[in-house]
Amino acid sequence: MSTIAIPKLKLVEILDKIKESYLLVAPVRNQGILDFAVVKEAAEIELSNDIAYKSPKEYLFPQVEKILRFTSEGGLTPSEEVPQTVLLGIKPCDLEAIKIMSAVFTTGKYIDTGFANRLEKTILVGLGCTEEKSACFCDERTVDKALSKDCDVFLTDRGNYYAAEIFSQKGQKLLDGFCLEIINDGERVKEIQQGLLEINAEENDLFNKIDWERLTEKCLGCGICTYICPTCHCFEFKDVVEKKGAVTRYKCWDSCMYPRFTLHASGHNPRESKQDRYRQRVLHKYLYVKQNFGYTACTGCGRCIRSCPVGMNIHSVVKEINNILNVKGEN
Amino acid sequence: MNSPYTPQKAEIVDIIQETTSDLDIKTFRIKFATGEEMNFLPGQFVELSIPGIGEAPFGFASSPKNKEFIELTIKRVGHLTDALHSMAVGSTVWIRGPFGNHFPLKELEKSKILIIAGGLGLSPLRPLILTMLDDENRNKYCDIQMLIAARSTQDFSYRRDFAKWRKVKDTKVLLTIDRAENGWDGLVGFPHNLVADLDIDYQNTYGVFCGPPVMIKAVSNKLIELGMPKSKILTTLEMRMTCGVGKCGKCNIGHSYVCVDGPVYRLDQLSSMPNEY
Ligand SMILES: Cc1cc2nc3c(=O)[nH]c(=O)nc-3n(C[C@H](O)[C@H](O)[C@H](O)COP(=O)(O)OP(=O)(O)OC[C@H]3O[C@@H](n4cnc5c(N)ncnc54)[C@H](O)[C@@H]3O)c2cc1C
Ligand code: SF4
Ligand code: SF4
Ligand code: FES
Repeated sequence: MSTIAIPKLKLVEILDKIKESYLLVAPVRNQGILDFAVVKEAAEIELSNDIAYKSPKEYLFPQVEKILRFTSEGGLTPSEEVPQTVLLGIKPCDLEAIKIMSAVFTTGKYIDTGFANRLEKTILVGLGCTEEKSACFCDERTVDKALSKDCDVFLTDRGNYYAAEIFSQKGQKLLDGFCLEIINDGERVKEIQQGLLEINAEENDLFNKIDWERLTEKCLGCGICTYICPTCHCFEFKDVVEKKGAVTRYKCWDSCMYPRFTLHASGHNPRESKQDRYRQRVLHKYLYVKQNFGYTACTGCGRCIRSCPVGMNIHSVVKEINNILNVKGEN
Repeated sequence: MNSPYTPQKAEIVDIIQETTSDLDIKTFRIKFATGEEMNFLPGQFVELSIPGIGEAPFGFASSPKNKEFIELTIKRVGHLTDALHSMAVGSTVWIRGPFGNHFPLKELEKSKILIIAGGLGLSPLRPLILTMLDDENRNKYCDIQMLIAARSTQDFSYRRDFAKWRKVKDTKVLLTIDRAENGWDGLVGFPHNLVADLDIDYQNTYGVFCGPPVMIKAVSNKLIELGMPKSKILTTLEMRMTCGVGKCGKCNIGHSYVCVDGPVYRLDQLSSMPNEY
């Protein structure tokens, strides 16, 4: 599709206009921390090379989502409508994460309608990175930091204007009517280095040959890595009783790093120890999602590395696993 | 588009007290408030909700042929099951499903079958047993031996079935308890220690069993040791579940999601999976 030039001087004006018809969510800096937020004034948006502290996943998969309500009259009402949203300034790694999460939530025999509805009502506007940031390793995870086509519009900083590449009807509709100049950029090629950081091994080998206890020694089991990760999608249902006897059921984020996550009624727990749970986290990302949906569920965004209170590093853990397997393989 | 998390209103139409020891297992007969039938296959499960308390998965325990109601046999172990056990006939519950895969009924035809059940493990096997023993189907299946284990004489569910099952041609029902009791003339001991003494052609028999994880592991090892091919051994597993439809990430064993790929597994499948259950 076409590419349009958006002069930086006109951007705030355009976004304020867009804000009249859509809920606008974009990176905003608050007390020094860059994070996705519902935008009040377009001027507060920060489109920079910095990556938001948290990913924008909660706008498609809310941390706490009302899914249904049992009324006090004994009936049931489904969850409310979701607003038309523009999610702006999504880095290629986070667009990759949305693609992975969509595979989990919107394919197969059952569809998570909450996620599917939000995704359908959301226009995804990407933004390229110009430089690598500390702890990022997207280049080793098949993500091109300068371009992603997994969105409706993709912005590239060209000095005094943004080149807006339009990839869908939704994106076209968003920018229609602003009288923006079409520029002929030619087809840009996405340069991806195929799977530099992968785990290619059998589940059972990974269970048996790796000393997970040693790899997991430092972990506190706090679960921050899972909350902050753009691809983590585990959840739990919780009921809340209202005053008049109605009950709202919520779908809430959960974490495989917590000991009760797999606890059975009998008291038996298939993942009893910290190392069992950390193994689940790494292998779910690098093996199971790939086996089930064709993608590795780690984009290399580096958030878990930056946020871990004890410096656990999934990048070095995966490398070390590969080293161990290679050494064993040679023997 | 309907959400797979939305349950339908249902009513408890009957309650059967199963165990006499500590009143902790009951069978609930349930039907949809709309009168709609629930079609399921042996091995599948539902998610049952009590608003304000929560939701939990339970295997169907009744015959799929019974369109009047479904039966769920439920042990009291926590919040939801406590609340359910204090409910009376006429109470409302909410149900969604059926979910999961099922026993390969067609494949089991023309074969001899050995059923092994430990405790409440008989419950998910009961729809299969009732289907195979049904008059209409009885000629499709050959000899059916059942080894049913409970902790003590007080802990057997479905006692009312045993006499009926024994009367069906070419079936054998053996009961065992963990420790000897006065007046007990059945077997004593864990099922994995007893199977070797049964009169079974292991190479040509399908083994179908269910029980707690320790029993599943012990029985699998024994059946393999006795020469039963892994492809002819079937079991049904239980994992902590939330969604029941492969989204919440709670029930996996390695890459296999028990709520969609299971709960019924073949042993050759299970033995290539990590020991995470
Ligand atoms: C496919 C399947 C079929 C099942 N069939 C039956 C059945 O036919 N009859 C029966 O009595 N039980 C069955 N169960 C187990 C049943 O789901 C649990 O006993 C039930 O969830 C406990 O709920 P609760 O609210 O009473 O317990 P809670 O108060 O939630 O918890 C008590 C304990 O149970 C654990 N727990 C919570 N949810 C689950 C869960 N979904 N599975 C296992 N443990 C859990 C908690 O960690 C806690 O330790 C089945 C489970 C599965 C996965
Ligand atoms: S953030 Fe670090 S310490 Fe916390 S659970 Fe994750 S790996 Fe462990
Ligand atoms: S595992 Fe860490 S690096 Fe990979 S996507 Fe999640 S937060 Fe980013
Ligand atoms: S129970 Fe949610 S994924 Fe299986």
